[in-house]
Amino acid sequence: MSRPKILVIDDSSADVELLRLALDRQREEYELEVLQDGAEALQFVREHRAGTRAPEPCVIVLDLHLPMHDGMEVLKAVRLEPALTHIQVVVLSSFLNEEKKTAVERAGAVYRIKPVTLPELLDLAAEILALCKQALTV
Amino acid sequence: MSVVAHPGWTGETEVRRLRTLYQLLATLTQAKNLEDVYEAAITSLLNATTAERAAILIFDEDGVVRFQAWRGLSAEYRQAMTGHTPWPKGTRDATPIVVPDVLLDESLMPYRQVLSREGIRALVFIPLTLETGVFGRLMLYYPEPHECSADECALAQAIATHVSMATDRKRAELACTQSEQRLQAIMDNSATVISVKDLQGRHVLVNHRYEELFQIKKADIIGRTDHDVFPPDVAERIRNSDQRVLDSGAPLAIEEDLAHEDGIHTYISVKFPLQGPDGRLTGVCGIATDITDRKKLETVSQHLAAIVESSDDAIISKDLSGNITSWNKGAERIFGYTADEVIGKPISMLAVADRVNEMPEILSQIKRGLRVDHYETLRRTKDGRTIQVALTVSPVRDASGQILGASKIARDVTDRKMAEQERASLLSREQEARRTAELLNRISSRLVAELELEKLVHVVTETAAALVGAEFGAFLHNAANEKGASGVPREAPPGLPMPRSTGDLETAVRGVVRFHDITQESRYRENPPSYETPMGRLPVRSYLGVSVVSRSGEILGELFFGHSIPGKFTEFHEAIITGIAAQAATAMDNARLFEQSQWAQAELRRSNEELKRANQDLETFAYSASHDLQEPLRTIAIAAQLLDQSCGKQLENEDTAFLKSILNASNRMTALIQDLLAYTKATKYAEGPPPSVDAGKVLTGVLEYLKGSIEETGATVTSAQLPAIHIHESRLAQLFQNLISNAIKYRRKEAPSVHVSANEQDGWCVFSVSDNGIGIDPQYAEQIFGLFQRLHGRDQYPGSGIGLAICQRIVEQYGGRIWLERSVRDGGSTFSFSIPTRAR
Repeated sequence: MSRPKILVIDDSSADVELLRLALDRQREEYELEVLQDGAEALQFVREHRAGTRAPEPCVIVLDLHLPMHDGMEVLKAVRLEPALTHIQVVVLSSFLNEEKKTAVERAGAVYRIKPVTLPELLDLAAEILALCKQALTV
Repeated sequence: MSVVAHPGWTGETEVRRLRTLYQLLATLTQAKNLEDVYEAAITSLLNATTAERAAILIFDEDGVVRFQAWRGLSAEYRQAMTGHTPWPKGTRDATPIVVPDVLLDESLMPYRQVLSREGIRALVFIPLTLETGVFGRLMLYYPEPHECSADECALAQAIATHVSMATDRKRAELACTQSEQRLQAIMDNSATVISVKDLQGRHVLVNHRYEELFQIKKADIIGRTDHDVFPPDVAERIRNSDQRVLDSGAPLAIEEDLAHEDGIHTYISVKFPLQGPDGRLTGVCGIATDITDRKKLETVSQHLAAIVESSDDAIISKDLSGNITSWNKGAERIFGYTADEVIGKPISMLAVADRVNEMPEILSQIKRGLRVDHYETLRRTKDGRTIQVALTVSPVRDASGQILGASKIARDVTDRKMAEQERASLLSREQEARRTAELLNRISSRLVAELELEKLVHVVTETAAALVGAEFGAFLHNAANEKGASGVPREAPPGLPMPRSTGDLETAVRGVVRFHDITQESRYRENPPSYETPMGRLPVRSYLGVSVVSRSGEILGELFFGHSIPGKFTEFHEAIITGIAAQAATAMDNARLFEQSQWAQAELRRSNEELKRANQDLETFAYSASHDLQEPLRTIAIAAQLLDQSCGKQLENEDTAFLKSILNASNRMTALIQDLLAYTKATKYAEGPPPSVDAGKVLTGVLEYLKGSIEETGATVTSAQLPAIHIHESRLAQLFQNLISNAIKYRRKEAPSVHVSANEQDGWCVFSVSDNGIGIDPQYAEQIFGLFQRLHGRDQYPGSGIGLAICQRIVEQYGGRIWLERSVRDGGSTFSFSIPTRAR
């Protein structure tokens, strides 16, 4: 079994580092790829479509608040790309926005608030890895 | 009350008798009118005797005796017995008549049937007498044959005596009141000012006119002196004249001036002493009459006499036999006779030989009440000249309309031609004026319709130039608005003969200057006119200028007109341009107002848009600022927690405290940012019109959300029936949530108790959230709704001070209001907010 690959799309390096720390604490193998903004994310989608990029990640962690193209746009692009439709997406937001939450869930993604306490952060990391494992076993 | 069956001279009856009489006396002294006296008599009779029924009858002015008061008598009986009397009115020495059995009494034979139908078997007549004899009687009635005892009779007689006296007294009193009222009525209806004072100068009586004149209520002056109500000098003057009357005992007439609202009025005041029946002085009465009108009339007739005297026309009056009765200066001038020479002489002395018959004819017309108008004829003067006169003769009547004589106005029309010429010139002037008015009317509609200032100036200049026949026309704006002259070079230098400088100019009409030939003007001859007038470079000789002055008095500019031929402009042209200038001023005022309002509207639109943009910018800023603040905060918070977890145990006590304060600060900061974001959201208008939501359901949802803190604090939250209103659900939820969580947060030691209610009134739904918490000092009732406003230390009650600010934002978006309804220190508070029942 290959190492689960997690793609994080977030411009906040501090948040990425915290997530990496939390994932490390899960004591499981994983691989993390980071994209910094909406443009890079759309480029990633295009490359998958062209088949010039592999392997696919098992889960995409997507920040809603991105420079250039916001998370909703990226989510839409991912969902419209047949090569990526099956991939689980966890959408993160700094604040709860009911409308966005509904839209995200309707797109079949998971909506989560960015954790502000350590236990929450660890829970999120565990959830991401669980989703990853689930994707690999299917 | 028990009735003593057998009255005798026992102690008991004596007591009863005294008590009855005492009660009667007490009642009679309090009687307000005769009816009260009669009623007291009946009551007393029934108490004092064994009779079951009683009545009182009094003679009227025609000598007919009538029932005045009764007990237990039918209308038929009273009608049948009215007029029946054993004694005629005025009988002296009448004594009571006792009829023990009516069936045995011959005199009552005719009434036997009436009496038996009424169930009367025995009766007693007790006369009511005064000095003038019998004036009525008391009656006692018994159902069975009854022998009236001596005591009963004596008591009834005693009652009769008291009632008689009381009646007499009451009648005198009434008569007195009536005469007083009559006197007051007479005084009040008098147009004169009347006052009566006693010897001490206290007012006893004043009338309406007095109240009106001195603007004082009767009640406020009766019993008081002039010193009490008037200024000292006035009171002293009045008192002095009163004293003179009292000292001399003779009437006094004085003329007094009093200031009224419409000016000074003159009064003729008559004061005379008042004497009592014994001839002694009792006071002084003053009657004042306003003679201002009469005085005026005198002045008017003096004035009229002066007019007659100064008239150029001959004004002559004569009696019906044709004798001259008055003769003015005009007559003296025209006919040559002085008044002394002609008064009393026949008017025919003025007649011309061949027209002698004319005068009797005129007189006969006058006698028939007819007037002779503009009759032209010939008359002879003292020096024998024959002159042509126009006569107007009208009858003079006295006040009753009877003709007393005639007044004659004669005008010397010898120089007829001159008069005709004068008339013609008047006519032409009138036509000219009419033409001017028409011209002005015609252009005024054009001017009023023009709202663009530049065009307006052009229209005014062109039209006016055409109207006055000028070759050149110009409008020069007032220097203050720097637009320069219209139609002439802008560099026209200052120091022009401005129309407003009227000083020593030929045409001394304010606001207008006119020069016959400007090149001949001494003031401008020294310097070439080309540098002195707006027409400077033009070959102008005739010159006309007028100021255009706005309603506010500001000079808007000057209109100038010129012509190359001298003397082109006349007074008529002056009138025209004055009119045009006035119209132009109004039109320019309008145009300026229009421009200003256009500008103001544009300005308003612009600032509205700016405000909108600023609001949007602010929202965007607040949103991204909170976002960006949140990121480092998360890092700090989690990093601190990680630090705590991984090496907390190895840290010194002090270091642990530092770490804790980092954690606390970041938690607080997170909450603050959350709230700030919520506030930003609340500021944003909700999308779409508010749907109707069930406030009760919303509250249930909120309580579910707050379940944790409710359980933790043991709070009870109750609610009345809440209506459905038009509001966005999330906003209402936010309102409830903030207010209820505040109510729980700011609690005292005991468990919080919160009640939510609603009340619909006048198109508003007012929600109230009451608690039993710590209350709020009312001086902070406004302040608490401010952003970041906190009344307590953070350690005491946590929070960012944004909750109520959010609430206020929300209700304001729906046009509503939020306020602190009630607050008692340590006794809880009530917050209310209003939302319109219909969506706006």
